Amino acid sequence: MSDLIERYLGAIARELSERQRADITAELRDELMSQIEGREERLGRPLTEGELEGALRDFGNPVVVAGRYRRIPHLIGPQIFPFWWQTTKVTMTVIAAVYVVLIVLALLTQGPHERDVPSPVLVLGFTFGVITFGFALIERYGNPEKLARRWRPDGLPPAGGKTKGRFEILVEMGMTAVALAWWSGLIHFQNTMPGTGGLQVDLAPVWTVWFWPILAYMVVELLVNAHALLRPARVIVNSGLAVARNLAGAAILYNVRLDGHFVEVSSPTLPLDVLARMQASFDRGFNFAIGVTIAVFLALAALEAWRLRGHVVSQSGAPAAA
Amino acid sequence: MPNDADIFETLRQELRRGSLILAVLGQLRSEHYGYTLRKALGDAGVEIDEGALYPMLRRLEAQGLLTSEWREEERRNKRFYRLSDEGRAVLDRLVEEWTRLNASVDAILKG
Repeated sequence: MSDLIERYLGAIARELSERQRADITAELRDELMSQIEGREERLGRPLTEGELEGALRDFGNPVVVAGRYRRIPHLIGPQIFPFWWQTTKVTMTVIAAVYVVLIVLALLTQGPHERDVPSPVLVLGFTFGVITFGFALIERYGNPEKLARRWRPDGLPPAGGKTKGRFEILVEMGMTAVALAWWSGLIHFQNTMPGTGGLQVDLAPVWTVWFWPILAYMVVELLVNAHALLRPARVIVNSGLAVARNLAGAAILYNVRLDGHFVEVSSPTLPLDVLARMQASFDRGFNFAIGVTIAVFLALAALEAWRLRGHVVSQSGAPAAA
Repeated sequence: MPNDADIFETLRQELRRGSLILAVLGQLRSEHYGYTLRKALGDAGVEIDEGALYPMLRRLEAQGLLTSEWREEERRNKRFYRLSDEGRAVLDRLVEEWTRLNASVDAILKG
């Protein structure tokens, strides 16, 4: 009988820190023995093996009993849970957006190569682990109350719908992240067109000339969106940055478009005259697409400028323009 | 989905949580070890299981509200708890707060 009690107390002791182990188990031993003696006194006989097991089950699972002595009994407590949930949601949305873009591109271009992109399950699992670990550290060693106090009413986003939504920003950030990874060479896409006799399409030298400005533009786009996400109340700054970013994008593409030659087509099997016609078609197509993109950039800049005007007018106290 | 009994049990536990600390501190104006403390509380109508009581005693001791010492009694080593001076002062303030809150809630419920 006492063997069962010793095994039970041993199981509790294993879950406790060495510093408090002897003290707590001695106290629990006394409580347990007192309870058993009380039951025996009421019954007028020693407990059977089954009754003792019942008494231990009533006392509780050793892991749960020991767990109640932990200073912090939870990994993520109620105070920081909303922040953990918000961070997890935002990060997971960006990662999901990246993978949706990658999957669409994979279907369209037979790429990127699998070796370039880690499994989404792995990335999502790893990110979830890192975020949870970070918040568990705040819970254990940080000051969760301080975290909850770090907000100001005037830092809240405007109630009206004249700013970009959080979901829109997150999706845009995911798409920019994929574009940045491709532009900087971290991931590769198949540049051989399927079903065209080995037709290969490579970027023309004009893109190399504009490599750094385009890279800088993508980084700025990420930062501007991150700022809009983290500081939604700074509507004037966010709209101003969006105007500048869209104008910069239009300017870069305008200069690229001046070159007139955007891709280089080659094929080991197709005749030269066919290739020349294809080359001309591709350049015309790209010329049109870049023109449309410039128009979109300018339209977005105009939209943001209109929003900016509204914010400036409303913050100066005058009624905002409709 | 939780049923009415689950909801009642959760609310009952929330309601009891703060009161239990007050009852434990009040009972420890005289010295007790864990088992007799639980019995005394039970006899006074305040049931508390050992899983909640012992960690609470440690927490209150770590906060300086209780003192404890190991002594042998009935051929076994037992840890005896008692309210410290600081604990007594805190208890007096908590009792005041409890009385005031009780009167206010009572007035609301009867009104």
